[in-house]
Amino acid sequence: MEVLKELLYSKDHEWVKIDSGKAWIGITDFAQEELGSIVYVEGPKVGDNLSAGDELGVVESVKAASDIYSPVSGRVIEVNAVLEEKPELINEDPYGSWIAVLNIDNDISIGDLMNADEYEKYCDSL
Amino acid sequence: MKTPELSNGLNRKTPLYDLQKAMGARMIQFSGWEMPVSYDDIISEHMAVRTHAGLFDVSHMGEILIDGKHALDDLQRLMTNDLSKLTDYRIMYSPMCYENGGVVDDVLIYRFAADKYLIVVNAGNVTNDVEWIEQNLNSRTHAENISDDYIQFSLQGPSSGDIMRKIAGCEWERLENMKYLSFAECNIEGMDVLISRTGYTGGDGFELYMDISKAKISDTAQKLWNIILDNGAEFGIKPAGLGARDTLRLEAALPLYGHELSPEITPFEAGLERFVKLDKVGGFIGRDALIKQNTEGVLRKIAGFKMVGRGVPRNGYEVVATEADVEAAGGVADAAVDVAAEREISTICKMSAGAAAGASVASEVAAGETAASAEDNRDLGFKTYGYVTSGSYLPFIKANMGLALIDAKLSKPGSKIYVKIRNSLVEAEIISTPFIKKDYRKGV
Repeated sequence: MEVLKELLYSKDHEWVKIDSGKAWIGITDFAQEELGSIVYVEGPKVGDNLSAGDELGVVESVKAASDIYSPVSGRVIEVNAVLEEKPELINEDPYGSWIAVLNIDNDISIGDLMNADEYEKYCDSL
Repeated sequence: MKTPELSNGLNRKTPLYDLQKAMGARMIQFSGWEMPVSYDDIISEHMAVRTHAGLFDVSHMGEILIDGKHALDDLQRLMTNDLSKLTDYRIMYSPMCYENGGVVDDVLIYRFAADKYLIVVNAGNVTNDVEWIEQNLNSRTHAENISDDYIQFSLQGPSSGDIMRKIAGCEWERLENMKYLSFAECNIEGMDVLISRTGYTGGDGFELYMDISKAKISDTAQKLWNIILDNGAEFGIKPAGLGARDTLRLEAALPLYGHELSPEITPFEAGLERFVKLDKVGGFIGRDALIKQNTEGVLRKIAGFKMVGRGVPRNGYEVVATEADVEAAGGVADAAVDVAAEREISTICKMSAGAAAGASVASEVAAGETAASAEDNRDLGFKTYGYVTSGSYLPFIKANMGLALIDAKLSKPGSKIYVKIRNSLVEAEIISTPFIKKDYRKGV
């Protein structure tokens, strides 16, 4: 199971990269492995205002639909349209396949998010 | 995101469980059993079966042995199909009905002799079926539940014959020209194996049954499994799980009990008319109810559909339409092919990902704009006309499709419907089934 050191992680297996007031969000290697072949991705709408914990969208595998949640609060400024045509990219490259980008506040609370080591330990405990 | 439910460890296991875990299989709960949903991933296993071969462990299925002088008469009363047409070493598919025409189970009947049959039943129905059958047997007909003694594997795909030829040795002569729905008792590397030309994928394949209660210590399920995988390697065989089993049977539009068949769904509603012989001498349980339904016409039918908008249809999702759609469907019906006809209807349905995506985004925008809440739906004249019984992304066709139990007025190919996926109504279209061209061994 792959975990990238520079990212932050939620208990629901989303990863988030925070850079220059923006947050890129996707799902982790653990998540795509559990889901199996992903066949459908639905992200949020550009302009949506989300609070941490709000539904960000849906990722569907052959067998099941799985809700994804925003790990941070912010306003959606971009959605990854490539995933609509090639949802399998999330299986192939989970950390390179961001689902949405949010504009976030500078004083954003990332207290509930885990760093790479904490997330790895968390996954081992499951 | 929420991760899918993992098995809870309290279910029954087939003899291959440890081996499957060692192979890295992802396990799932199914009908009280812990079964592999996939070993690698559903899509590659599905494609292996369509282009090469796949091997399924289906030992959770049930087997009931019926024998006695009156066995045929008893089975004729239980089954809607006409078993008098069976000869030795041939197999027939039949629904088994309650008095009200609802389905107890859909089964395969293997005839050894006029007084000896093997009934193969769905895993979730074994106890129920044994009870139902025993209740309805002549006192001198003997029924024995041998499910726990038998393992069952399914070897499916265009290369399944090549693999069987390698494994069967001198037995291949008997199997080579065996046509679909036939079986033979064979010996493979010293093991007694019953082999039938049957399957649940819409293509060529074999199912293998072995009594492991009577087998020698060295003859185990693992040995047979490994013999097939080892010999199949050069032909591209892959072990395949229940995930691919479901997408394969759905591409072939084969019914799954609990979805397209149930105590509440009759064989006529499910489109299984050709397996119901209303004129059969002696009748059968449920005949009167089915005669009535046949005379009056079914009010609802299982129909195949493909998604036009973006989204994956799944079991339980509502099917809605406007009254205008229903009226339009009535017009389409006159020109459309009658899906209840007995002849095989083959449709090869291929949608390129690019074309589908382009069309579907536009449709979804339109559908999304028209539907938000139930109240809005009613205002716009949307009513519920049924529900999805099975739906999925189908890997070979590369499209989102499914089966739905819907108002008969909407069931003709060409009818426009909407599938309620979460809060959106996504456009879909009724199409004829099966979704792929079936490719059974016709025999010489």
